[in-house]
Amino acid sequence: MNCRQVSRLVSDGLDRKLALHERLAVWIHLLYCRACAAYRRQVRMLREFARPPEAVTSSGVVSHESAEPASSHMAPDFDEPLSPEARHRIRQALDAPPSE
Amino acid sequence: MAERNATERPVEHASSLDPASANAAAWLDEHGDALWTYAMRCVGRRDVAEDLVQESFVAALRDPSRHRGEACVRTWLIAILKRKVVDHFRALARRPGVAELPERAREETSFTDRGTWAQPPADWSSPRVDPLDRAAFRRALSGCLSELPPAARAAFVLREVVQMSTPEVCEVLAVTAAHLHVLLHRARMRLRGCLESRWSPGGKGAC
Repeated sequence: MNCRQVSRLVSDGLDRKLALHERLAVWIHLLYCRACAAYRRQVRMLREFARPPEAVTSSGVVSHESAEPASSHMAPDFDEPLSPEARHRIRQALDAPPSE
Repeated sequence: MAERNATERPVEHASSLDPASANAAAWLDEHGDALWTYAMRCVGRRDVAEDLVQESFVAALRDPSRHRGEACVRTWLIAILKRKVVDHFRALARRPGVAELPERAREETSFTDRGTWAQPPADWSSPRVDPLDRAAFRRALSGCLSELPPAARAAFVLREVVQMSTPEVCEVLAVTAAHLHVLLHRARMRLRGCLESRWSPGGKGAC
């Protein structure tokens, strides 16, 4: 199996259970291929850092409750907060009586 | 209203509003930036992100009874926003051509004809330790995410940011599992390439 095929399986492994022969092939390849091992670290890091900091799972359950550090966690993520104009517009939308 | 005690900033013109609106205004003060950050991470465009945030607060205002437990207003608001994000991508994926796979994608050029890496992936290992590095990585990732092709971004965001299961993402994007795996691999290959050009462990300078 070459690096192109292994990189695909490394990605697939994050989204489906690999078959035994696939896992074996990846495992053997990674024993000697530093490049694919680096790729695996990269995609794992992408997963780790894509997750939003407030640790809310897709079912809406909080996996660890921590009210106050959440905002400081969020802060470095974006250089700018919600713009004052957008905030104002949303406030007006909230003040308006429901349209339905 | 116990959560009012926890509100540090005063609620402007709260007295002129009915209690539900006052609640929503306080939610906006306290959680607006968090929802904005989440929405931007997902859709990468200011106008779309602002619309999603606004729709989420309006939905929260219309149905405040669904919020239970004072400690997790943000969790509840983010859950509402997630549904808006999912709806956004569901509609996007149904536009003609969006979910189609091009014959030969750019990630193919990452490999030689023999299937080996044209340029070996960089070794990323240090942001585990340095918080500043972590923040820089997060920012670079957000930027790179917004530059992905729409279908690949939708797949990656639903899977890794919203953290839906693979079958759920397939349903939202109306694609097969095999198709989704291609989209996700493509997204990851592009993201790692993009990040390698914008971020390196331990600060500037390639290693």
